[in-house]
Amino acid sequence: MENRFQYFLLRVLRHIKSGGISLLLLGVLITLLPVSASAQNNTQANLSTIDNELFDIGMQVGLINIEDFGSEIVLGTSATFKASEDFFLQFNFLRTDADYSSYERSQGAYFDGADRNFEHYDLLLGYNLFQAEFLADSGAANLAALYVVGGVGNTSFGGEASFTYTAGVGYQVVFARTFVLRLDYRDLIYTSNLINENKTTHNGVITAGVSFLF
Amino acid sequence: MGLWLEWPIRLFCVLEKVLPKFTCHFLSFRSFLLLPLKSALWFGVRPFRLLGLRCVLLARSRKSCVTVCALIVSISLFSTATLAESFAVDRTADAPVSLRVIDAYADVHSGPGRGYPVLYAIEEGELIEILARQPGWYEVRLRNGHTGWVGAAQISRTIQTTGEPADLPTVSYGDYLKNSFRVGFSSGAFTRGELKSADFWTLNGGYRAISWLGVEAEYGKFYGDELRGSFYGFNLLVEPFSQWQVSPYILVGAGNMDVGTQPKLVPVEIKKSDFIQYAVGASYYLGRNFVVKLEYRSYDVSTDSDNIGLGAWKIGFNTFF
Repeated sequence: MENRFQYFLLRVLRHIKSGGISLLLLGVLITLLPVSASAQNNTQANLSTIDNELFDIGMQVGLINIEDFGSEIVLGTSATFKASEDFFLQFNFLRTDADYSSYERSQGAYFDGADRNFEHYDLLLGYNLFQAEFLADSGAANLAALYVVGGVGNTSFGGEASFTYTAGVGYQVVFARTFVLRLDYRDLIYTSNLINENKTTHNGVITAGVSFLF
Repeated sequence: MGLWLEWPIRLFCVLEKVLPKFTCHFLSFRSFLLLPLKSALWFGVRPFRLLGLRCVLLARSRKSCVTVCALIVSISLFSTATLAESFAVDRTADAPVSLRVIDAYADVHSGPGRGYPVLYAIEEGELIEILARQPGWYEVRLRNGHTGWVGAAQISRTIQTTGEPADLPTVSYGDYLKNSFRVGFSSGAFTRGELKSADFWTLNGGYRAISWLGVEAEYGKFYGDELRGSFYGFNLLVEPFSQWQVSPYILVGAGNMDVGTQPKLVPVEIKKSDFIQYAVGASYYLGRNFVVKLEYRSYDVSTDSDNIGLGAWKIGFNTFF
C-alpha cells in the first residue's frame, strides 16, 4: 500500500518537474478566460452588449524632414485607445527611405543599403485640449478636437537605434460617425552620432490620416 | 486545430462589421484579442522556459511530446466550444437597451465630451435607448428619434423598463476593472547596476482576472550611452486596494534581457540573461478606464558568473477595455 502511494506521489512529482502539471493548470486557466468574461452578470446581458467604442486604427501619409538629410514622403499606421473623455493612448509606426542629401550627392553617401531606411515607432499619451464641432458646409456638424501628444519611442536610421521623444499637436474630425480624419504635426527628438557626436536632432513630421473607429 | 477554426468566423465578423453598419454583437474586441494571447502562450517556447514550464519542443521524450500536443489540441478545441457558447449567450441579447431617467433632467450633448454643446434635455420619466458607449459617455436615442451623448454619471441614475436600477457602475475603480484587458506603456531610467542612467520604454498588455489580481506581458528597449538592448517579461500584479483612487501595488515577474553594445565594444556581464523582477508602485486612476502608475522596480539578473542587481524608476500609463 505504502509503495503504491509512494509510486503515485513520485509520478506526480516527476510530472510537476517536467512541467506537465503546470502546463495543464495554465491551460485550464486560459481556457476559463472567455468563460469568466462571458459569464459576468447574466441579468445585465443587455447592458453588457452595448457597443463599446474605444479603439481606432488607421493609416497616415505625410512628409518627414530628417535633420541633416532630406524631406521624404512617409507612410504610417497607428492604433488609438480612448482612455477617458480627455486622454488617449496612441501607438504609431512610421517608415520611409531617406534619399541622398545635397551634401551626399556631391561628396558621397554617409551610408547605404538598409541603413537608409528610416523607421520610427512610438507610444504616446494624448490630451484633447478643445472639443468642438466642425461644420464642413451648412449641413450636419462633425465632432472635432484639437489635441496634444507626447511620448517615447524608437528611431532606427543609419545603423543607429535611438531613444526618441515625441511631441506634437493634431486636429481630428469624425466623419460619418466611424471615420476619424487626423492632421498631425510631430517632432521626433533624438540624439544622433551620425554627423556629430551626441547631436540632438529634431525631425518634423506632418501627416494626414484616416482611422476607423470601432 | 480549434484555434484555426476560429479565424474564419472572426474574419466574417469583421467583414460583417465593416461593410454595412451591422453590429456583430458576438465579436467583442476582448474575445478577439484573446486569440493571439492564447497562441502566444501556447507557442511561445521561451516564455514557457522562463516560467519553469517545458513546452513541446523542450519535452525530453517523444512520449511526453505527444502528450503535450494532445493536451494543446484538446484544450484549444474545448476553448472553441466555450467561445461558441459565449456567441450563443450574446446573440440572445440583441434587443436595444431602454432606460427610464429618474433624475430631474439629463443633458444631451452633441458629442462624448463636456466641451460639446448641449442639444437637448431629457425630462424625468422619459425613456431613452442606449446605442453605444465611450469612456464616461453613452450615446442615446430619444423618443423623438434624435441621438446625442449623455454623461455616465447621469445614465447611472436611470432604471430599466423592469424597474430595476440600470446599475451601470459608478466610481469603484477595481471592481469595474475586473475581467478587463489593459494595454499601455511606460518610460523611465535605470538608477542602479550595470545599466545605470540608461533610459527605457516598455509596451505592456495584460488581463485582470480579479479586481485585485492581474497578469501582464511586457516588452521594452533601453538606451544607455554605450549599452543598448531589449527585454521582455511576464508579471503578476497584486493590487489589494484597487477600489481606492490612489492604490498601491506589488509586482513579481520573470523575463529575459538581451544587451548589446553600441557604438564601442565595452565588456558587459549581462548578455542574454534571464532575470526575476520585483516592483512596488502606486496607481492613480484618472478615470474609470485610465490609470497612471509610478513604480520602482528591482531586477535580479543571473549572468554566467554571478547574479547582479539593477534598479529602475518608471512612470506608466494604462487603459482598460
